Amino acid sequence: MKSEEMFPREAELLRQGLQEWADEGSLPSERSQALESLVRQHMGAPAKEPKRSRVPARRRWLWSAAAAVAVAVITVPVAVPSARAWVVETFPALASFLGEQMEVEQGWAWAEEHGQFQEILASAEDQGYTFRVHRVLADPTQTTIIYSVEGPDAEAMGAQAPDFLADGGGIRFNGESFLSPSSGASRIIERVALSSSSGTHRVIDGVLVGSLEIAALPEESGTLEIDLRQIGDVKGDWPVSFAVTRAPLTALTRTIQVDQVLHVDGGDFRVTQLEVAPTQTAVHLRYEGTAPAPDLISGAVRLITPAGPIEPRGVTASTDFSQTGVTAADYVLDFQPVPEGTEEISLQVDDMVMPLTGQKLSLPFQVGAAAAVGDLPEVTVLEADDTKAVVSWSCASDADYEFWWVIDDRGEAYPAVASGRTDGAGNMQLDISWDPLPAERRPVALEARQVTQRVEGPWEVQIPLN
Amino acid sequence: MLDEEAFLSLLKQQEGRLYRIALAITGSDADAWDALQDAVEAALCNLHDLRGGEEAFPGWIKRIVVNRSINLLRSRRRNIPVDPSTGLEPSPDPLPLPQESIAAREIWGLVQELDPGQREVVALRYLGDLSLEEIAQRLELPLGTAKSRLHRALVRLREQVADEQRRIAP
Repeated sequence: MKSEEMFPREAELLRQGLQEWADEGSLPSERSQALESLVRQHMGAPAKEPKRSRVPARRRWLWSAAAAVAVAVITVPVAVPSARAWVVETFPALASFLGEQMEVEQGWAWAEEHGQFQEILASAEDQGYTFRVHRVLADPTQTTIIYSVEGPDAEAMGAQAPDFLADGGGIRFNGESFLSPSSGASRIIERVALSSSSGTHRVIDGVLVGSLEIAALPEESGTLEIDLRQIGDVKGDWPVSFAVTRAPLTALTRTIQVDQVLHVDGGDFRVTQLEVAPTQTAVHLRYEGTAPAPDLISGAVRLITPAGPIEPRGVTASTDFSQTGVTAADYVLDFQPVPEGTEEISLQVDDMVMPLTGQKLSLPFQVGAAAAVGDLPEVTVLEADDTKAVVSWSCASDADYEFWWVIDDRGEAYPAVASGRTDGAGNMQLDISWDPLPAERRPVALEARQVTQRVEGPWEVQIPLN
Repeated sequence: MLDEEAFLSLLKQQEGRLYRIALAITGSDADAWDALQDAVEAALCNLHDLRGGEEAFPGWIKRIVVNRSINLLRSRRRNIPVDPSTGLEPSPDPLPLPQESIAAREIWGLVQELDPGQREVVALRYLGDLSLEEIAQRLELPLGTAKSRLHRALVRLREQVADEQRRIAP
């Protein structure tokens, strides 16, 4: 329902009240006389004299210090309207995309309200396709790049977002690799790699518009270079480069150091830091334990404020590493921004999916064979042939079996892929498939090399924000 | 085409109203005055576009004032946070009119207290007579943003009217 339909009385009050207020306006006499002079000078100059230009007629009256500033500001940014025409007038598809996203992304809506999107005018054309970067939203928690692609064949552009890593492409910041297939395993790169295609996109009226979310800029300001090499099925080279800064939003972001622990079997989660930006809230967690790092499902960790729950936006995790038998992992959980004035938040975790240390499942390769890990339900082979198998187990225990391999009669192992579904009777059915084995080899066993179990919480920590 | 005296006569009838429209849109006296002068110059240069003679003048010049006010807004927009509690600068209008209706003054007071983004949308909607689609396009906003600003302004007005009624209720 439209706002004016929801609040008809208020809309009418505003309309009538403002119209009356405007009708009752009058100009001071000196301003009224100034306008009269302006009109007379423009229209009344004698024929024998050259017409004065518009500018001097007004400027003679306006030449005071304040007026000079006003003149300069009015006359200088002539190029701005045509440049800003990238946003809406020329790209209604972009306006549609932004409007849709802002219904969900409260951080974007805030940024729009407060002029915090950086307007970018960077583009590259190749193979008949034009890649444009329109806006960037950079805060201490992440960097969002809003782009569009136009070209002769919307289908070739595809329903998929451009692959910013394909074919040697990547992103550099201040000359340093920020996102590339060959980057080292730094935290930033790992986080970016995990979310390299994080973002969203749509094709609207033949224009592909989308957002790419990557890690926060490692420095406050600098130059971001994007080298895009593939758009859908189209290979080419679309390099763009532009200045960006996260300084304004850094100034508005509170970073709260936290040291609160959630104990789980085999390890501890430590909430280390909270970043409260007007565009997003980021919760930093570190896991250390003898058990492998758990899988924090997006949505499993809830952020609650006195005003209610805050919607999650996603989870990124660093690469696990083991040092002297201790596994450690870093997580960053992103949420929509918390309401202004929030003084305390609560982090609540209901469930975690915990890998069982050192456990694996080994199944004989024949229909009807069954095996179990500890007290977990049996896994049964339902179907088996040369390149695929179907196994099943009860969902009651919330166990899961991952990283499947097929073992041949010489003891060699080959990786398999698996996809699961429930059968409607409370059982998980997993379809496992693999490439044909070498000639004269036959499968003799299936192995799941990671066994996980959902562990119920709840766990909760309170974090003051001041 | 209007001659000089006719133009002046029509302008004098409208100038106060036009100034207030520009003030509501731009939010500052200096900008409103700039926009008004700019609009008068533009009107003088495009007098040949006026169709319908004297009767069409008020609507025609109002559209020019609205357009110039929007142009000024866009050229003034800065990338720094705006305190949502910042209202308008106090209007320097030195002539409080004894005949000014109380309702109109109160409504203007409430509008002055709106967030600048909301005030712009309200002014363009109820003084500039623009549709939300036109407002979104002219201010380079997503339509959803324009709608949400208007919505919040209407909600706020409802709250303030309710507060006022509670205050004066016996």
